[in-house]
Amino acid sequence: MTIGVVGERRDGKLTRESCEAICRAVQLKKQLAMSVELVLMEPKGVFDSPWIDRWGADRVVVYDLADSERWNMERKLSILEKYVQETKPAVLLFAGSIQGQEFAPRLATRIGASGLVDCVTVSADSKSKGLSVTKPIYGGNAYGEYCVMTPCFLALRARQIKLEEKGEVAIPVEWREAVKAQGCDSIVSRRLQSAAGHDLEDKKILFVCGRGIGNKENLERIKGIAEISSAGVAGTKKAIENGWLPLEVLVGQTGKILAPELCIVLGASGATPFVHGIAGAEKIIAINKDEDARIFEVSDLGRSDDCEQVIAAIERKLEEIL
Amino acid sequence: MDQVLSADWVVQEDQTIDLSYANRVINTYDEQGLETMLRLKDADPNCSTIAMTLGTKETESMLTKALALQVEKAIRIDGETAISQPPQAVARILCAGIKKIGEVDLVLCGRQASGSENGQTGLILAELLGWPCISLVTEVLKRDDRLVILHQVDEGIEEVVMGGPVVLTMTQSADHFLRMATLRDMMDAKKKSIIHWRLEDLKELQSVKEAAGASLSRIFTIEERKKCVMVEDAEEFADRMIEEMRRVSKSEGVGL
Repeated sequence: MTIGVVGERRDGKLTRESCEAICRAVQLKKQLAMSVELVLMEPKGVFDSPWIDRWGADRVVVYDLADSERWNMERKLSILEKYVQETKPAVLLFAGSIQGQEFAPRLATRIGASGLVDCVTVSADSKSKGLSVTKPIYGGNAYGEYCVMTPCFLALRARQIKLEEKGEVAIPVEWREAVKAQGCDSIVSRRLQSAAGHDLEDKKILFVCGRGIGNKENLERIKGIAEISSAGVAGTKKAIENGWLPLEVLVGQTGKILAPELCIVLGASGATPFVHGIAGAEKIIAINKDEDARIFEVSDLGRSDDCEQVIAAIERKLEEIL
Repeated sequence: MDQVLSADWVVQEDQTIDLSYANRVINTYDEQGLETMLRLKDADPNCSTIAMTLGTKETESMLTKALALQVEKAIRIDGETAISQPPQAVARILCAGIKKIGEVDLVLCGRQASGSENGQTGLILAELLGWPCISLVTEVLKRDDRLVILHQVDEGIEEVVMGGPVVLTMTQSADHFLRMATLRDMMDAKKKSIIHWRLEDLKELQSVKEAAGASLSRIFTIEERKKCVMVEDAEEFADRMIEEMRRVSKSEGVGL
């Protein structure tokens, strides 16, 4: 039997979320005594062969998909449907990406199997002979433990597993022909209107702005401070809704889940769905006017103050240093 | 969920969390769907608008709100919406409800509910209807006979131009808040009737019990509280923050 992992590549490299999915599959492999197969949809011309795996997959299945079809979700779903019919994986894991969260339930419905998204832990359940999966519920204020029978389709939550390199190993690659999509005739055109940067994921320092920063001018000042330390700038749901920052830099349960070394939170109350987005940070520094704000419950260092005052003090100090 | 204090997230013996004291409101993603539908109606008065929900009598206050906002028809399908109910079952019921309505070209639903947070219902619904689904939509406009849809993808924001029918799952976006009803409209809405369907009324309903899905076996909470060092002196706080930034940026090879 097989544990399949639907991988995604960006700029020729597996995304971090895909590597996390392989690591999760390797953990399951030990418990279920199954092999791990990485499934990719890629244009043949750009593919490295043999495939050098660093995370513990046993083989790769690649469907030849033209780059122009990269964002054709219906086409990709048809390919995965064919993969499931051909291979019959017991478990198919999807990366904690937008694509993964969309594919898992849709594919599960087509196959008549179980699907779950935003999965935090996945393990074998000897009692039910299925899997035990946990995921957040009630805005992340609680967790639900689910019993899932195989075959199942699970989309993982990002940043919930430590990446463990297994050493570089050349593993076999099998090419398969991609099927044509069905039922997407109504789509006339699709184009990327604005591109999201993916550098936030790699930033060691992250500034997160909440409603409490007050206005867009203060955001520009925070960006100035961030630039000096090569930090990233992200926002809470309120900052996005106010139009201060674009949706692509939303941090939280329904946005990016990040794990920087240092996270500086300005003017965010600390609502649980937001906190889930930064919970993996090594150190959290928070500034909020309200000394009882929930954000201080998850922070290492804090100050109860107006954000503008703190920004001014930091700017002054930096001016002295630089 | 913001109404519930940290200390009140207590799992009871029957594997539930008592939230009975919190007000029931339309969740933000559903509000986005409702506002988008009203904007489409503003642009094209010929389109008809329907709000539909699955729930008990208590959920009717939300439908009354929709009627106050000039949604033309409100339908409540009578049923329990326990957190343990799999999204596959909910999607089957909604699918049968949509088929009972008849001619529907566009279904808007929130990306996820605030309780179960399944994040699957709209996607499954599209599959059951055999329609395409565009997820995490931030804006919808009507251009001629086509829909221009902006939605989030891993690479940024994508624009899709398409015809119906389609299911859209809505997510948050800037300056896109649900409009307010006037006091008069709110009073008038209370006099309007809500259409009520029972599960037996849905001819095309597939067995809900047989819907594949994961079963919720346990609910638990994790107490994660750090001991935060609060700094009283503004200058000292700025120094400590810069020191931390220096430490981390140095390890990255960036001078500060």
